[in-house]
Amino acid sequence: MTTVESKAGERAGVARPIRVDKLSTTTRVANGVRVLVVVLYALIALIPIFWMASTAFKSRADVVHIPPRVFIKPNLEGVISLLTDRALLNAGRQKALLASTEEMPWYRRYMIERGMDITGVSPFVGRLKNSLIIAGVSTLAAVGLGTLAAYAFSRYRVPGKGDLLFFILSTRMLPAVVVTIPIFLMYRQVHLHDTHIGLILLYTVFNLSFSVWLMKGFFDEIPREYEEAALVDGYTRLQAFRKVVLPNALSGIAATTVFCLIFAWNEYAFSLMLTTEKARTAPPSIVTMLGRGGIEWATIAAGTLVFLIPVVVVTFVLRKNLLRGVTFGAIRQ
Amino acid sequence: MATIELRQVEKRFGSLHAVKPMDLTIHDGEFVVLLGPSGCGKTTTLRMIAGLETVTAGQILLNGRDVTWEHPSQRDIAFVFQFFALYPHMTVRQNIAFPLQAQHESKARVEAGVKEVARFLQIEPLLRLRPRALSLGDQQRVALARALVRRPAAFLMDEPLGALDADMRERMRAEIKRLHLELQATSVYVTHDQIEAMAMGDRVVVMSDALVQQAGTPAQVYHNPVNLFVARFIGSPGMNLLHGRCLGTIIDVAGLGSLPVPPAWQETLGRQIGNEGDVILGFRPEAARLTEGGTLTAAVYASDMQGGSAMLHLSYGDETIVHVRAGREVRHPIGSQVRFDLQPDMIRFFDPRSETALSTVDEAPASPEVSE
Repeated sequence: MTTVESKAGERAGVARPIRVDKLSTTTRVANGVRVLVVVLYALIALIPIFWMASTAFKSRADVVHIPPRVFIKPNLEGVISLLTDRALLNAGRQKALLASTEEMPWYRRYMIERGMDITGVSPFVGRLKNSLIIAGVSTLAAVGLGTLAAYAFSRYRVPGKGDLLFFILSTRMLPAVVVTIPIFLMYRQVHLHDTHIGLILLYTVFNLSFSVWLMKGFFDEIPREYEEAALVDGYTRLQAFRKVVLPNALSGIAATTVFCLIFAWNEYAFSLMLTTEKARTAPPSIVTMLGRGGIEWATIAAGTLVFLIPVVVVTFVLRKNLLRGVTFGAIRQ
Repeated sequence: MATIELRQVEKRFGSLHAVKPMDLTIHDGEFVVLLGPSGCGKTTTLRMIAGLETVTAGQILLNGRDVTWEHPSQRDIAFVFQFFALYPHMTVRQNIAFPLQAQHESKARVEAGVKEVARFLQIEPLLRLRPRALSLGDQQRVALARALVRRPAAFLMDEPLGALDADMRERMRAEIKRLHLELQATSVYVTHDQIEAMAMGDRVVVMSDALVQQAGTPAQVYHNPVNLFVARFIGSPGMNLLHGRCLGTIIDVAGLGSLPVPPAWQETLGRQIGNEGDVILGFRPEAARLTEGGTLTAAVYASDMQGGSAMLHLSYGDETIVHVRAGREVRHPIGSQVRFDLQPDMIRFFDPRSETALSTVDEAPASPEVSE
């Protein structure tokens, strides 16, 4: 410890490591309280998610059992029901199918044992696919365009810059519900109703204001001298942007991507109004499951769980950049 | 290497004149320092030479080639920024290699170039590190290495020592000077620190209010300032400037005493002021000699021991302060009266109305000598 410290101290002259073994009692108590608060918060935030996840693997009996059961035998009925269409079997047919030596996938057998036969893939699979395409493409577009626009706003003398930025932000000022009806009418006119491209356009426009403002903040934090150094070092403006500015804006881009993706992925009102079948995304579909003859809680929970996965994965992959990105402004250099 | 020539170059930001039309020729291998208080246009001038700022009017020539509207990347000029602007996402090695890669050099040649310049600046052990991990002095060396590696036609440095502490500044000043002596590269250096400017420059260009006030060797701007601004700005403390009255062959400074006009000045003063008139008397602290028989008298206001000598702050008349250098042997208690004389050849005179220097030479010295 001491050797490392003295070496680093000599070179850097700053940022000596804090000695953890010499904290005062008050600091340690304060740290303890902090940890406690964070743990409590984490519990409060995670319990509903845990409950949802466990519900997804509960049998019908377990779902409605009172008092609620925490420890259960995992049941895949909900998950399989989510992804498939099924038909009820009478007892004779069920016996016959179980007795047959016909090769069948494990999930079909699993359902036959529970009195149902799989007849096909459920519409939810297609809607999940729609969600992936629409959220993915619109996020890429919003972040890409937003990054370029924000760079221009940050670096060039754009005429009417302040007004333009305000105008861009103002697209966010009305709640979605207010603008859905005019957009619905417009979309019907131009045949964008219930199309992928329609929702992609809408989500891109909606996210663009956000990504322009967020990315402008990140670009403002990057000293101009970096690009200027690259310019005198023999690079064009575009090369300087690509080789020097973009790598330094990565954390910002990651943060913006996650926020845009979460919006586009979770969006409900527009999708409900502007799509019917072909381009419908997952969020309104989960809700419509409520209505189909008896509430299939396990299926709904499974739908929500599956729905959570992509955002969690992306956030997890980008988490390192995200942490740096969210604390932007706090880091100099 | 290169000659840089500015012809009537000016810069306006809207209605604000950042640089008023200026002419300046920087010769091949010369080390020119642009010196002035902040906001005087020195950095803007440097950035115009680099191409980072467009010019409003005028021409910039590099080796006779008009580069006024050329992109910075085509000027073959290196720029060292005040805060170094090392790319934080690259290692030191990548930082130094970056300018070479712009020229599409082969990998081997890039590697060789980086190695050579790293050895030259003694930063070889740092090549693997990120700039963030370096001390400011080392960051400065890396910034210099990045500028050097391409062997550019000229070096532009914008207050490169401004971010360093006093100790490191002294060392890097010597290093930059040594670099210049070894490479003999045309260099333009911007600073607001007149001591730095005097120490480093072959020539010092003093700027203020967007205008070049004077361009000359350090000795010229120190001993023969062309106007009151330069006289005050150069030197620490600056030149003593006393309001006096010329009475034939006598200069009278109210409250301080009078002294004879040096013979070399009699004709000039007679011509410019007439028989009687106001004049500003200028002299450097070291021009004063403390003697019992001195004709000027003032009270000691404060005294700074500066090691080799002492700087006396004398007050006379209406609390006007004069700075006088004294030997370190004699102590001068505060409040005591001191008598002194001025070395005749170190006396200068200024016109109080135009604030420009009077000259014993016939041609007017007021127009800044810009291109030697």
